[in-house]
Amino acid sequence: MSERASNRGHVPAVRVCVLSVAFVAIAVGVGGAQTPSTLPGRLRVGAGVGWLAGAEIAAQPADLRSASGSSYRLFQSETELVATPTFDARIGFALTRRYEVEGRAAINRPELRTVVSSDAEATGSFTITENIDEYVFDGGIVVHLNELKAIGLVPFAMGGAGYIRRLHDRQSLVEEGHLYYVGGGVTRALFARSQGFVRGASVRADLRLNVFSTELDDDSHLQGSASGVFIVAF
Amino acid sequence: MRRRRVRAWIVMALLATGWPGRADAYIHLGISNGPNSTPIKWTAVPVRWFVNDGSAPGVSASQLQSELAQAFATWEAVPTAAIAFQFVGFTSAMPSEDDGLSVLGFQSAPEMDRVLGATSFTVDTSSGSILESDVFFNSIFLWSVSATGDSGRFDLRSVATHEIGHFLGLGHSALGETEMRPEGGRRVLGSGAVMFPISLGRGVVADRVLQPDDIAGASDLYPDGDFKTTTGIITGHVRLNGAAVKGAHVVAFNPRTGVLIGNFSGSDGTFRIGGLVAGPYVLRVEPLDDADIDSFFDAADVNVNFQVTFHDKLVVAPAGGASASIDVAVRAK
Repeated sequence: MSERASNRGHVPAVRVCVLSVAFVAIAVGVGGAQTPSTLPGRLRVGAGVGWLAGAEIAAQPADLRSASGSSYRLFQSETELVATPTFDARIGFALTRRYEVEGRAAINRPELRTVVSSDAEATGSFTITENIDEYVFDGGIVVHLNELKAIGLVPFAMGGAGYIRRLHDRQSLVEEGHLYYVGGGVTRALFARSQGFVRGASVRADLRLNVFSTELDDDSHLQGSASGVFIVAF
Repeated sequence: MRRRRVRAWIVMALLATGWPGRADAYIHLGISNGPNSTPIKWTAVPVRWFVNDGSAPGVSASQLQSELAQAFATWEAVPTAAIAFQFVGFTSAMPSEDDGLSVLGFQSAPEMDRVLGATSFTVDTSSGSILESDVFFNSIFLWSVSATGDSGRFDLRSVATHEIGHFLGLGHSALGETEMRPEGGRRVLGSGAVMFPISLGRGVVADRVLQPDDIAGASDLYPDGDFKTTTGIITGHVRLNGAAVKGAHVVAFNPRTGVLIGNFSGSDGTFRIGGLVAGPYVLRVEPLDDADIDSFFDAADVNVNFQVTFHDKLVVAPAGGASASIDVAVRAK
């Protein structure tokens, strides 16, 4: 347990994290080539790494009943999921040059952190944590905006829904939930060819805004994420 | 069958209970059988109760019966507990008589000038079955049956709800904060349970409504439906410099809902908090310094010389199971 030197400031009810991704596309001289993801009828497989932003889970007081009818605060608590790296695998199928369906499986290990402050009998604040294993399975549609292509980058928008499974305390508790997401990014082709088993490769950067809720509370929570993905088209 | 008469009290401001059993098995009253403690509970339902036909200033016997019926109904309405009561009728028998009848009524006890009410039991000490339980309300005090309370009187239904908690087999909860009055005794700053041993005071009707700690205690003692499979338990030890701490008040706080449920560590430092909705919890350990220690324990070796401590990890209460044993190290004051 660590005692923090000063009390935390107020955490806004909804936190939207805007993340920037340092993402370097490797130019290999195919600036004018068609990106593999826009080849209709092709299966794409990708793997990525990224950053999952923090999310406020709850700000709850520990209140007691008082004689006056108002409450007596024993302490205050604020709970959040702390930002963490994320690793994912994706599979997609291009329906047309514009539309693609995509599925994703991601593994995260965020820290669930509760900060207790303003205790009636103890000074300072206290940070209390738990590391949880989180698995996310989601799917949606990607819309490639080919007409907006510039400097070899094809922008896209995406949206979808998914399932969250969190394992607490070595699986002694399974927390399930669901999420919805919207986002967008850019894709850059590394190479593309019309023959062979591998038809091309590309890299992509995306930003997402996730709205999730789980069975442990009734609230919806906002969480941003960013990732870079290496994609191979077959 | 070994019968034994035992007693627990609710107090107004200062005095505490004289409970001869152990209170270190959850917040239930228990009978000591050597090193073990057997929780006491009713095994024959519905539990039949009588009302003494005496009255107190401003409260008739029928008004008393009406308030008691509503207090019993409050406990019956706990959705996760299976307990039922049946009012049988009025009687001239006194609450203090060991007559096989469970009687609730007014009784004057001027020598107990800080005791609002008391509950006594006759139990089968081999099984823990309650055979009879009586509740008296001290008629030296002024009582109110007003729906909104009377500033000069104690709310009868609030105190009855507390005493009926004892009647069920629940002990006192330490979920509350108090301060010493300059003139002596304690003033309640906040209470997290109807079963907190000190009344909120005259004119307050808040304790007509059960709190999560009360509901967890009743449900753990009389589980109904899927309560045992949908709620979890947190277990552990409290230690000070490696030695077991007896009588530490351990509170599980759900940071998503704000619910507080507490219990005590026993003589070996172990604690068990049941009836927790599955999820991660903050554990807060505090010395038992907000009421007289004998409100909770009969022994004098309760350690209160440590600081309020938060366990540094969130502790998960799994549905239908118990957490791994948690070691909470507290620091000396």
